[in-house]
Amino acid sequence: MNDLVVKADQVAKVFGQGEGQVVALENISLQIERGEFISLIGPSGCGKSTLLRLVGDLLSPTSGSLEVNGKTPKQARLDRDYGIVFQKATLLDWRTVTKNVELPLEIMNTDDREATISDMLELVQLDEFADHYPWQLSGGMQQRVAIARALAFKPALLLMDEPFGALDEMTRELMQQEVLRIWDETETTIVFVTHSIPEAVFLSTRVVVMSSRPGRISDVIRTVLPHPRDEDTRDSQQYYERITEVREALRRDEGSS
Amino acid sequence: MTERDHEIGETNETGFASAFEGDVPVGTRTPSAIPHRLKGLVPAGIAFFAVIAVWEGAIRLFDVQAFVLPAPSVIVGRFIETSDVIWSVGFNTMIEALAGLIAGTILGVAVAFGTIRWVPLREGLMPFAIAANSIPIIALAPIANGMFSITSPVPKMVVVAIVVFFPVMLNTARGLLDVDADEVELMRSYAATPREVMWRVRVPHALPYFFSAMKVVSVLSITAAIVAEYFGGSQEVLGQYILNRASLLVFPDAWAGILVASILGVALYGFVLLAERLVMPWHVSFRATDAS
Amino acid sequence: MASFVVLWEGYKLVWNSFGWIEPVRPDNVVMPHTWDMILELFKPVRRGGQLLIVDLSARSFWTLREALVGFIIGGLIGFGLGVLFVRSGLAERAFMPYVVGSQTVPILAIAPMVVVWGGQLAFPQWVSVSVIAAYLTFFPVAINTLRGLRSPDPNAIELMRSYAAKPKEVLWKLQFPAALPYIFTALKISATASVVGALIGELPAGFQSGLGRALLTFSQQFAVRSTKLYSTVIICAIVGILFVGFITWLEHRVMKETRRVESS
Repeated sequence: MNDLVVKADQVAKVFGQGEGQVVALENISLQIERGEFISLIGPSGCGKSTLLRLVGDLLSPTSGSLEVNGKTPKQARLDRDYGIVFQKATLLDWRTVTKNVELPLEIMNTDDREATISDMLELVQLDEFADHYPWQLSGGMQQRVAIARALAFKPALLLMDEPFGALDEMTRELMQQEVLRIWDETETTIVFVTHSIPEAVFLSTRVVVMSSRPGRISDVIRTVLPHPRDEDTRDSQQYYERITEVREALRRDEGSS
Repeated sequence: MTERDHEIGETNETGFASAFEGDVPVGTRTPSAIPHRLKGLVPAGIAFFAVIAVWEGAIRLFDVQAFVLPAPSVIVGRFIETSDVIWSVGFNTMIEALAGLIAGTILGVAVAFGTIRWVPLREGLMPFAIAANSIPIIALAPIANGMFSITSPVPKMVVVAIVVFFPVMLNTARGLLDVDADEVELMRSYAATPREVMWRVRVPHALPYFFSAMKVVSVLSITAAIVAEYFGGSQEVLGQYILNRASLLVFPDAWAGILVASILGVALYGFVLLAERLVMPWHVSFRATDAS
Repeated sequence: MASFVVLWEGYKLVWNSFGWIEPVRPDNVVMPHTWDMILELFKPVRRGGQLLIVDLSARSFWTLREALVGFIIGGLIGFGLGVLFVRSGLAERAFMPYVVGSQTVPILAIAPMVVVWGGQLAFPQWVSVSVIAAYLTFFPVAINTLRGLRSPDPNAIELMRSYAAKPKEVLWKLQFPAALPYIFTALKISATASVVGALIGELPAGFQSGLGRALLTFSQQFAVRSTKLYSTVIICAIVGILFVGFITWLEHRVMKETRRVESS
């Protein structure tokens, strides 16, 4: 049996009680194998960010079972099995790039931080900016620091919540390339939330299509595109076919909901 | 747009209260802000009376002398006995405070509007305002006494006006200035005149800031008037009354005077709240943490 | 500064040439020349006494000391309350009404009484005054600390949770640095308030030291020599500015190159 990084079985998440309650997610069953790149895509309100947070134990499921790295999400969090990147880089203003990347290492009391930090900064190609402050960097650069920080303690899993949403299209495409390169070099499993169909198809091994009201998984599409992916991939026939497939899956749900 | 639904009062296993206390997920928000707030006052009210009761009890129990700490019953007693005196001096003080409050507010708002119209005014005024904020304004009280007749209420009014002016001016200016660039551009795209921009965009935006300042200065005006009175002048005012009684060690009377001052302050504050409710029914700001 | 001098002298000039006396009489008693105010500092306080500036400097130290003690104590209490309220929602709900309610007591108005009262209880004057300064300081510091501690992005809090960080770590690594700008804003306000509290506390009869006493005394000598009062007021202003300036300097040292999160 393959090594499962995430195993969700009939997971549901409900907010509030009684009449005003909101069913954010229901019937979520999903298995993510080690080394995969999974995208969660869907309209607003489909619960993709909620699902991401359930995996990260930043929220607790109302029912169903959820295993992360073979443990409860809570244990996985306590064991620091995952790193997380948000849409806003969320760097600490008062720390330099280096100190920002060091933050998790400080908390986890790791040894040999200097070497790790410089490795990470090299990985995201920001080693020259080690002593800069966040406000001195562009949005894309800040996100790269956030990625370096997320990977600094070498987690098995990387959760990304629309990390490139605030970036312009050109930077976005560059960052997508970067993420793929990093994924390749570190062999981390990645769960990626996005709004953009081309982005989901370009990056992932599988695209999880979700629909809203209530949030659920409506389809899982294998991208079956060759690796490594690059500009040529963006021009290929299969790329466009997958995009169409995902788009239709999304439309189908819009019609039915 | 990412939906971010936070759980209320969620604590993680380390017992750290959720930073999102008060954040209610969309869909479960109920419009019960006001009754909830009144409910919140009940424990505070109960505790207040409890404190008074303990205070009274402790005084009686330990037979504490009046000059150490008067019992609430004694204070209230004197409050009632001297009510004609303290209310008449209180009235005089109230006049000073009110006059200064009105003058300072009008001036503050006017200057705030001015800083929007004339940029040089803004640039020149800001460092001055910052410096002025650092100086103990109350030190001007004796000067005002000298400049205007010491026995007249005018110097006290001047001091109150100065004390009131700065917070009102700074807050109102900030509110007028702080509008979204987008909103201003929108108005420009409608070829709106500067005056229309001012009234449709800036003024509504500035109102919460203005009222925030008014809440602070309304209470402050009474205090400022009383403190200004400490520097001398007519005896027919609350400040002098309190000072005299305290110097003569007749503390219950002095506390009674303080009680009057508090009541006056709360009354002014209440007026501001009322005005706020009337002017801005859509935005009742009840956050205590918003003191400027 | 310069503009103020210009306005002052200008007023005197214009009003004098027209013979106006309202609203303020521009003679040399009520409105002495600005340079006379400065010169007065270098004259003796009384016949054969020390120079005014020496006397006032000693008084300034006295007043500043009282203000400082109260400021520090109030600041620590305020900070402590802020941290307590952020950690425990229960504590906040229970005690916040009192914290806010404490401000309805016009402590400045009560100041002289507190000092007299303290004297009766055999507390030295400076203790009572420090209590007043502390009272004035703790509220803005508490409120602003609370606001600052709550200011970080929810994402940043989630980030710390993802690291399974302990509450103490979240406090020191995330919330406290984020709160610093807010805290300094409150400290600047409180600095001035402490000085005011100290000045007022010195007013009751029977206390001879401090700037507040000087203000009162010279105010009574206004008709004879008004420049003394004006000079004293200038010194008061300088004391206030120095105190706030010191806090501002401290703020810049502590926050270095980091960009200010919120301008005061």
